[in-house]
Amino acid sequence: MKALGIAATGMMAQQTNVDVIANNIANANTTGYKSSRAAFQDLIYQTVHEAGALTSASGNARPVGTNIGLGVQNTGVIRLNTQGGLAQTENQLDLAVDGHGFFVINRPDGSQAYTRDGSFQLSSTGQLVSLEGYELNPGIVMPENTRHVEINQEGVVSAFVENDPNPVELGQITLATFSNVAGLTPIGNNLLVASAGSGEATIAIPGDPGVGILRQGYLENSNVNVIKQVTDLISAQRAYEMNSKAIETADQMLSTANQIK
Amino acid sequence: MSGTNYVSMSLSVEMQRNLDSSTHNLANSTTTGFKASRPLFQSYIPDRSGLLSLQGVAYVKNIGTYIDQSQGTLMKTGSPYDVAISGDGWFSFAQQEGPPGFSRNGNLTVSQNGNLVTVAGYPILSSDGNPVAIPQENTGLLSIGKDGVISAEDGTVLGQIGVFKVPANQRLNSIGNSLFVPGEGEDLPLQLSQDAEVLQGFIEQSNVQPILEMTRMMDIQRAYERAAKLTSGNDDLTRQAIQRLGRYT
Repeated sequence: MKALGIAATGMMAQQTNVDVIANNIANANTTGYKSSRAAFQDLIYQTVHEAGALTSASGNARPVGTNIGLGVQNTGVIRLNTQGGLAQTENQLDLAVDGHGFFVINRPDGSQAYTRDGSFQLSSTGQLVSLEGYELNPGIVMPENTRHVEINQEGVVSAFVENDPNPVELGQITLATFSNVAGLTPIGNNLLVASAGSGEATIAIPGDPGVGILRQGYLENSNVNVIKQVTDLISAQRAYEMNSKAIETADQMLSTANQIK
Repeated sequence: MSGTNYVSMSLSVEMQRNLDSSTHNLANSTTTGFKASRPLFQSYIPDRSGLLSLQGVAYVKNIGTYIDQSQGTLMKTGSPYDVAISGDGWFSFAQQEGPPGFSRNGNLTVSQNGNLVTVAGYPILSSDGNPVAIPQENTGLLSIGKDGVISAEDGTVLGQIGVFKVPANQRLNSIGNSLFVPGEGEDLPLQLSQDAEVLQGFIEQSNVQPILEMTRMMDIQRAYERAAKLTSGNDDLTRQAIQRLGRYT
């Protein structure tokens, strides 16, 4: 009887499902967070009888084989890379990407990470940094006594310093795009890193085709649809219960077999 | 052992197999594009006209499994890389070895080398039977029409996802990873389906009906108990016969 093992794969799959849903709900208010979904596929099949096998000497053949499946597996967790809603914050250093690009962040070990979270701050030296203090790449340094910062849709940063009525251009914010955005590896702190699955980052200027534009004074909300998550949670729980019922049935049947004698 | 025991044994063995298949369906009740499979049983009457004791004894015999090809519920996900088929048709996926596999699972993503693939990495085939390449600058916003035509934001056509017809009498074997392949040695030419629509932003859920599987499981359990009862009843009969016959010697 393989039912015990098969139902166990079903329960494990639903556990993964609930973990992913719980993480989505927990991040419902995380800036730039993208909702994920666990994807499942059926496991291999065991062929008990081969289709087409001869059933008589006169050449009759089995029209269908007996293939018993061995359960379910989790093949991946897919991030839903749709645009989150843009919320106005009126903070001049808050940036949102309206499109598909990612901000590039320098990690302390010198490697790059990518994020949709544009809630930037200034470091003690005037560098534009993320909330963890990681520098934006390419770096932007604010002069002292900056009155006002203007970041246009194409990512050009200009500052109005002291009483000078003319802005000073400080630099250009660039965005990264990937051939397979779903292949990026999340590492927490709203950061993602490139992987063999995502391919290398292509750096582009906001406004280029397929990159998106910047919006100053806005942040991107998470794209988690809480109602959908809760309904998914209900069906995951029920599916878990059904699999445990299958284990119970297999167990009772084995106990029946034990009681024959 | 008498014929009765073999009959009940044939029933219990097949009921175990039946439970395995039902459990597999339940385990896949949330698997995208999954099609439930069911075992078929028939009675097997051995041709032993000479032996009086076995005349008319019908054993249970499993003759195969079939795939329930009914359409699963379409669920809206909103992701541009999710596609589902409404109607009669299958997506086709290239396999590393062997003929292309068929599936209703349209949970797609873009691979490292720019092809449109399933999450397990099988490239989906276009209407002319080749993998679909998506240029990197177009990975963001794809729009997929009802005929499977993929177009970029600026309207450039990038390819067409193929929806193929599988004749109703075609044998399909499940090989896992949501894929079905034609029976061994059988050739299934790719033939476009005319009465199917591709829906972007949807996935087809598993067509397993949990209530049906649960009631099936209850049936299976009771049938199994019946088989056990038959064995122990037969055992009782034999014991009684021995005891009573023993008394008169």
